[in-house]
Amino acid sequence: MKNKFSVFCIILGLVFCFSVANVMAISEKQENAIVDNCEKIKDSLKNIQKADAKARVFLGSHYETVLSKYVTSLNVRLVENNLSKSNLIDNQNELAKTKEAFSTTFVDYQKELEELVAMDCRVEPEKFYEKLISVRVKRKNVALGVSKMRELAIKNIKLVKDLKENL
Amino acid sequence: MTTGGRNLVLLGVGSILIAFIMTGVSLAVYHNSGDIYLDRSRPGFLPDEEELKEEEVKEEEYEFSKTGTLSEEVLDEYLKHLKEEIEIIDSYEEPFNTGLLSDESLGIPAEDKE
Repeated sequence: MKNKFSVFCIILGLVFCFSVANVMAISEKQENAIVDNCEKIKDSLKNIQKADAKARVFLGSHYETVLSKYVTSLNVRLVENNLSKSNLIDNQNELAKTKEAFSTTFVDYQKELEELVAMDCRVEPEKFYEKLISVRVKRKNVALGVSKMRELAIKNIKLVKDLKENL
Repeated sequence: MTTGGRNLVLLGVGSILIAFIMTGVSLAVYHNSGDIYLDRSRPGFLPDEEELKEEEVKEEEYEFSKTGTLSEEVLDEYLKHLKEEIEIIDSYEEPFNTGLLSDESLGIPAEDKE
């Protein structure tokens, strides 16, 4: 019982230290810069938010075109001609899944970014910086989705070229 | 006030209350579902004039037919149009560039732990 309590205290202590270390992961110089440039930083974030909304609409509509007007249409036609290929079907499924993930990660990122913009960086510069780090991670996930979609579209070209050679 | 008049007032107040509750619920769903972040018709996110002009100029989009036979020529046409579509996607300069949120871009000095 005593041992269990000691282990619990150690874990609690570690969690506390880790939390404190995270909050303190900002230098005084950085803290002052955030407080001094608070409005400027927020304006930049709002501009990024607007530009990102534009990028999502642009990319989202083109991803939809690639998926529904090309990849899916080709697979339907292949089935009709009894030439259905499992690798092309897999590619279509992966494209659909990645497109869906792109929308989900974008919404997660925008939620986090909105919370960051709503924070008062003059009052809570440390928490603001912590949130900024988290927003960076979410943005990176969206960027990864963009790369993955491109990769899959290029793969589709390769698969169709192979199909053409074996027709 | 007559009973009919009182009932009329109650009906009016009740309707207004229901309208408020329904609007609140709709806004909560709109926000929590994340649709708000995909909606460009909200203030501050409306497309600018240039974008609207681009939309108007946009040619009719190609769509690969779901029916018909398949030949090398048909697949060549598919590949040609798909490559063009990917080029359009690539023309969007650095979407979600991670550098934009860097300390440097936001005017925060580099980490300098004391």
